[in-house]
Amino acid sequence: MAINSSEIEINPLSFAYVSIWKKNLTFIPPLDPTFCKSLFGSPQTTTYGFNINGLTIAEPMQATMQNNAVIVNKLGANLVLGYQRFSIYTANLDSLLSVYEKFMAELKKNDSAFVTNLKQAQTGINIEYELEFKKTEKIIDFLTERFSLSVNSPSFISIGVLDVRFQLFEQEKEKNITIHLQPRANMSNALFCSANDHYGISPTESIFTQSQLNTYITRSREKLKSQIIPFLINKV
Amino acid sequence: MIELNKTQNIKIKKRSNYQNIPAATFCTIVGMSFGIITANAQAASSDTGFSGTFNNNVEISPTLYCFNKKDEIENGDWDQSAFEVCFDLNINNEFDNEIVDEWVDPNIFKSESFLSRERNLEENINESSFDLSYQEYYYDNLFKFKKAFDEQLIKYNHFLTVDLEHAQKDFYATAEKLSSLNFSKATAEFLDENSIKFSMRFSDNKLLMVSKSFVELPDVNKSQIVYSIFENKKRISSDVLEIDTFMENIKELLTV
Repeated sequence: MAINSSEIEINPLSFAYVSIWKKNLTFIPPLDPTFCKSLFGSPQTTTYGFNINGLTIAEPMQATMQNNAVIVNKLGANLVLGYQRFSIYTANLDSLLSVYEKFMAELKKNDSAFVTNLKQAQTGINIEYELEFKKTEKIIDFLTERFSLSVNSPSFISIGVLDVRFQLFEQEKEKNITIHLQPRANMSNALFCSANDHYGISPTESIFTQSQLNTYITRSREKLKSQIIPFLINKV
Repeated sequence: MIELNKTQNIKIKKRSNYQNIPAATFCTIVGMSFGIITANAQAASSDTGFSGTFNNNVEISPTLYCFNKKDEIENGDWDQSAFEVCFDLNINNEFDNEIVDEWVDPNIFKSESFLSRERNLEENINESSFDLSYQEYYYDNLFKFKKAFDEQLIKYNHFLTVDLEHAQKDFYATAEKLSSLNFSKATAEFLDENSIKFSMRFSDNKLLMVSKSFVELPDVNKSQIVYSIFENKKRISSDVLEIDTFMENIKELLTV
């Protein structure tokens, strides 16, 4: 089954930036409740509060039932300023960057020394994609063939791969990327692919600026296109 | 560049109930499943696991499903009960035991794939992805204290001889605990030197005052607070206690 990269359409589904603090935070200043409510532009539905992880601001997932399956109509954005880590997750890049900038500005306005003291030890750029294989009818067949699966027992007549997770270690120290593949729901010719671009040693000690965040996300997307996809379809 | 040329020893752990599968068969399945890395799996272990050598620096943990009826596969009505094998590969190199742990909560990625969708069917559709388990008033209470603290810092920062970070840390350590109490009004104010007083009014005419020093005092150590409870302007209780002991007893004290 020969597949070319050009036959694969890459559609990002979500973006996330995760940072693990060098040292656990001892306190998290609460932000103005009105700001928290309006962070994602949906004050009626956004919830905020503290839990054991720290400060969480989240939009609900919007889902409906269709043919006995739960279909997510809208992914809920969320942000966690935790004692051990920070994470921000949105469905598209523009909102990730704008929400991140807005949040950091408010945090700085609230307590600039607190922001200055935030030091990250590890960083992750996590992007979820839909990979649509234009000329492939059954993605499950592609996975089975790609990962050379077969069964030599008379009890079983066939085998299918539903879940593959692998980690590629890069030359840069403690740099690796974890890829998680699953057949996409309701699309027989597409894969759900999550790429966790992990920096075991954060590229910067200070939390990313908006511009740096954009740069590392662009790099991660380029890597998927130029290295991971060719590896996936055996064209390295 | 991605590095894919090291020889690594990989241990495979069994997770599921597939004792009836002969070791050789299992290893063949495993070996073939890693055809991408030219697996050279050798059965070498007991029923607790297998080990193999692979010639790449790649970690893979697939879930395999084997099916016993062809039509079930074609119809997409897969019988996962036939058997399920899950395994992890741990690479014995400098990355061994490394915890790659910066992924955001995976539960938020529902319905993005076949497996996620299947899992969703077992979950409550309305279940929130995030647990905001602290009481609703906690956030507002903490925010009230924080606002009062900031105002005091502007007006009376000369009362502090300890550094701000130190004072903030002690302030939040106390304020976070007190914020779990369901009071109606609250404020915080600096006392003359390196200490802060939290005042909380409750709906039943009770008033709680808690003083916390940012420095060690002769009669009050760093982990202790001084508290007084008033009811209708009469003091009903007063003491010096460890903050944790105080919090354990406060609800009872407030209902007396």
